Amino acid sequence: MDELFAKIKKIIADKLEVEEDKITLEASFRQDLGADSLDTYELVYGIEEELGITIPDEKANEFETVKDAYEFIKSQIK
Amino acid sequence: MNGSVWKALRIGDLEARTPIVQGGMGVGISLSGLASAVADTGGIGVIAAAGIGLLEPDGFTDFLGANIRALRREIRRARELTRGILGVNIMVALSNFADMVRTAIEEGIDVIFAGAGLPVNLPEFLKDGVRTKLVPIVSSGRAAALIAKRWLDKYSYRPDAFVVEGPRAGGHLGFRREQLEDPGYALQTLVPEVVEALSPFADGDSPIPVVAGGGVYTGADIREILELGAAGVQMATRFVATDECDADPAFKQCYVAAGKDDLEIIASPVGMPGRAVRNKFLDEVEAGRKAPYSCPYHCIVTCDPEKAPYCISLALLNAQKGRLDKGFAFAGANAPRVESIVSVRSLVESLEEEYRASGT
Ligand SMILES: Cc1cc2nc3c(=O)[nH]c(=O)nc-3n(C[C@H](O)[C@H](O)[C@H](O)COP(=O)(O)O)c2cc1C
Repeated sequence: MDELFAKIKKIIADKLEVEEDKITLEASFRQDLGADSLDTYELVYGIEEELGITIPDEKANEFETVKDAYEFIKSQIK
Repeated sequence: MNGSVWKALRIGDLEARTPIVQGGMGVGISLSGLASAVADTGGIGVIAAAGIGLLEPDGFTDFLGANIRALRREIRRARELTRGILGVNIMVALSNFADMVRTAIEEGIDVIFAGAGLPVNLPEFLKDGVRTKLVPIVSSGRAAALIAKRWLDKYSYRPDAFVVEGPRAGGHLGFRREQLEDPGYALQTLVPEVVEALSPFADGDSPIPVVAGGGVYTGADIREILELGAAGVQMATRFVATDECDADPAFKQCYVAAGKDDLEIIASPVGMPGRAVRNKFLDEVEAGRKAPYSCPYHCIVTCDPEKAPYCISLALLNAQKGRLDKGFAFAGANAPRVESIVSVRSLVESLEEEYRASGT
């Protein structure tokens, strides 16, 4: 497991108050991790803060699974 | 203390001597007629942007153009009718949200109220010299704090006020169905919660004002909510039952006729629960006798026309025009208490009188 994924996992676990081992790449934010729209924003803003990147608001709504978020974040980190 | 009068509602440099915001009501229920009448009594009158263009002859063929044109015209009309404070209610879930915000700002509207979704990027539309106040509508302290923090972090903009809407409101509700009757989500619980959640974001000694609505019916109710820390109230259901309300008289009469068992919570195609007056149209929807329709314009981001059994914009438009067999009326939990249609002025005067009387 790479370092970025480990970081993201920690933020997700913290913001959504779920166990780290439930956070797989395939996990759906809404169905598997129980995120509502407010959680999604809190999560995205948390990631922005901790990783020093910006995620456009419309992107935030498009993340279905952890993988979607992970790949987008990866593409933003140089 | 005998007969204390209510305190004005201040939002930035605006001062509403009547601390009542008339809640925006789409489709076409609160337009320039109702908004200007409320503004004239010293409250804040609000035009609803949702589906406003559908009242135009080309509403379904030139959806975007018709909406901009209609909103512009209603704002101008209202300005001609009053010198009071005017707002526009714009649902975040509208696919033409940005168009509606830009148009309202161009027309110099005093306040934008934005709910049904989190207006996280609203300050983006402000330009230098614009005096329009930005007021999110939320259903929890958590949402209020999230927006306040985001606006300050990203735009260095402090929200001018918040509206907190409780589960007894009409129209779309920012709660899950099972929360609606839960006292933990009652407006009386939410007001102190939102005031508290916003306290870290105060501007020095000036807290961000909180306006609260959803089930506020009498002057005594207004007193109760203000004593819990709100700076004003938002009311909608009572303003439907006025001469100046922009809906067809048949729409208003369905409130007068409604008894206490005539309200229901629907699962709106918008993806939120909503409170409405039960009728044959909704019974048929529930019985599965309505089929997905052809959608002329995808007007609500969260609506899936492939699955929705009817077009909510069209149903609400029909109701506005009095065709309740082809639509339905949204209503607050207090709609069954409505007994007659009165003028906005006499309504506001009676609320003020009740407020005074309740303070003794
Ligand atoms: C007929 C009707 C239409 C409404 N439409 C909207 C709307 O377009 N946007 C919105 O934010 N709130 C809407 N609401 C909610 C009201 O603005 C208001 O916050 C709420 O109804 C207040 O509760 P009350 O009706 O008990 O006073 C609507 C309410 C009603 C009754």
